[in-house]
Amino acid sequence: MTDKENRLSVKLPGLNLKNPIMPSSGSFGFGEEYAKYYDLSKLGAIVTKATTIEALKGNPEPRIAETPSGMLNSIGLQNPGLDIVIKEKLPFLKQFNIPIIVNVAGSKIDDYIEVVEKIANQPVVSAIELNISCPNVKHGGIEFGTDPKTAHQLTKLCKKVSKVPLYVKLSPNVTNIKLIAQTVQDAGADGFSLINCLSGMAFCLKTMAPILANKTGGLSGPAIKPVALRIIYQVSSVSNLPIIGMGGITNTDDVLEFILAGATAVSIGTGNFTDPNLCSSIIDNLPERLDYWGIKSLDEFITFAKNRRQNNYV
Amino acid sequence: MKQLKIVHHQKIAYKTYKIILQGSLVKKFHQAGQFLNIKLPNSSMLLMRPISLADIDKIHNTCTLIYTVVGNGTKLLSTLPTDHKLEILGPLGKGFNIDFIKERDTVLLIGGSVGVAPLYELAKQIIQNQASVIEIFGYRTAKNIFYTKEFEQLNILDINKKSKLFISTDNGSSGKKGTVDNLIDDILPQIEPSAIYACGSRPMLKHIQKRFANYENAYISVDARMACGIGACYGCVLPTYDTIWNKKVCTDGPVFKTNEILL
Repeated sequence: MTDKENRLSVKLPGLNLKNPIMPSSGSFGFGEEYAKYYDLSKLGAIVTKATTIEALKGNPEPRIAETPSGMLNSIGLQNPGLDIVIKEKLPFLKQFNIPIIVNVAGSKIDDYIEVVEKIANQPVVSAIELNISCPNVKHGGIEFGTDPKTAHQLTKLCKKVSKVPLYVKLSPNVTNIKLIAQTVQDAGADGFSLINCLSGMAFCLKTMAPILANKTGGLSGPAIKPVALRIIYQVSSVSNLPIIGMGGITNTDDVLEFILAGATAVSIGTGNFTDPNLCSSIIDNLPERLDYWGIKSLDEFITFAKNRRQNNYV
Repeated sequence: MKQLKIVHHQKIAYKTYKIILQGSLVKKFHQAGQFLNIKLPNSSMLLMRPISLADIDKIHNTCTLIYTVVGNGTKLLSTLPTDHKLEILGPLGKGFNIDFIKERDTVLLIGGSVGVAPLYELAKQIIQNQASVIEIFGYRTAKNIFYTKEFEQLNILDINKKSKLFISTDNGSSGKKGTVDNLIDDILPQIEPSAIYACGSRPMLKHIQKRFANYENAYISVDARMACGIGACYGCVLPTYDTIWNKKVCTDGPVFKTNEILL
């Protein structure tokens, strides 16, 4: 690894990343589409689309609505199911020789456990992102992430069967994020992914009806960045577990802001839709921005940020 | 993302604009029915706007898009002056398949409102291939009509001298009163089209889909709310008749066979 790359490298349980940039689950499919735009091996890692035990066709369309500085989606976890992910999607991702994090979702605890166990056994998988926060499915997802007891139980059972570190993706749609985070930490989580989408709506005045066929959807994009930063900050104040931060990142300075709030790595979701090369250009621009802010390395900056938080940023 | 420069921008009908873009990216544009994703110069409007190619001019490296102002994004687009450079992703999607059209064939094009736009490049390519096009276009009122002259000039180039344009309006302010369906009733018995291509609103396409369900070569071009435009977000999917799998409008379409998707 060259010095230039070293400067960007960060370490989290199960993840030795050459840079902290990864695409978020749900924005990047299983990588096939973006591989046409740039060499995915330059990414820190890839987080796959949510994988469920059976194939899911998702919600009816319209599934997308733009909102100011954001967008709503109600995809509903459409994915080809565990078997095809293992047979076709993971072998494709293997070629990039970077850590692969598989996002796992389900509607029953038993389904989660089965998918986690089987996915964690795939040599190409470095970590699992446990999705207990999808706002777009009727059963499962967010139900598991808003009740501390269920979140605890699910995390504990998944951790038991997982060979690889477990990052639990929490929902911002709760009144006390600290409580959920602590519960999930006690259950044995190795880290957090923060945050999933905020639940939201948009209406069309021509039809006098919600734009999304599902009526409600998940809000993402720069509109939710302040919420993401607040939640990461709050969770990092009660837990020492590493955080993969996400929510409206569109440039290199956003990445540094997320680290100041408490993240060790970040992922980019909606930004990929505004520019398919966004992850790649953020990686390219990072060294120059580090120079600009007088930051020697991200590793050092993460420690610096931690000290800043502990000293109340004074 | 590549840049294309606005070299011409003009209102051509009610809320409808024609924009001509120039740049080397045009060399990559071939198929009618494909679309461009246009980034708007306003960071609060995150998503690119998908607009189909209406005309490709390889000699001047220009392409024409025709769009209707429907929301804030297209409203902003309509204010952009010439020489402004637009960030573009494309060409995207699968356009109209015309590989099987033979010389002297007759092809039926059905367009509704701004859905007429991609049919211009399609008609041009079919006529260049020495086949004929019957254009049946429906609009709300006379105010919404565009490109009549352009289509008539194209039709003159048909070596078979069979190409012809027919227009209907909902209120009868121009052409036949009613929907395209009334015109189809009049014209279809007189021709044996080797293919049918349609682009327009969902209700119109639903109807076309039903009417031409048993035609071997009937195609519809579908509009959908989309985010990425490249097949990654699963936002613009439509259910299919025969499988549990959805099809993506952005990469499996926007042009589909009538029996390929459920509208």
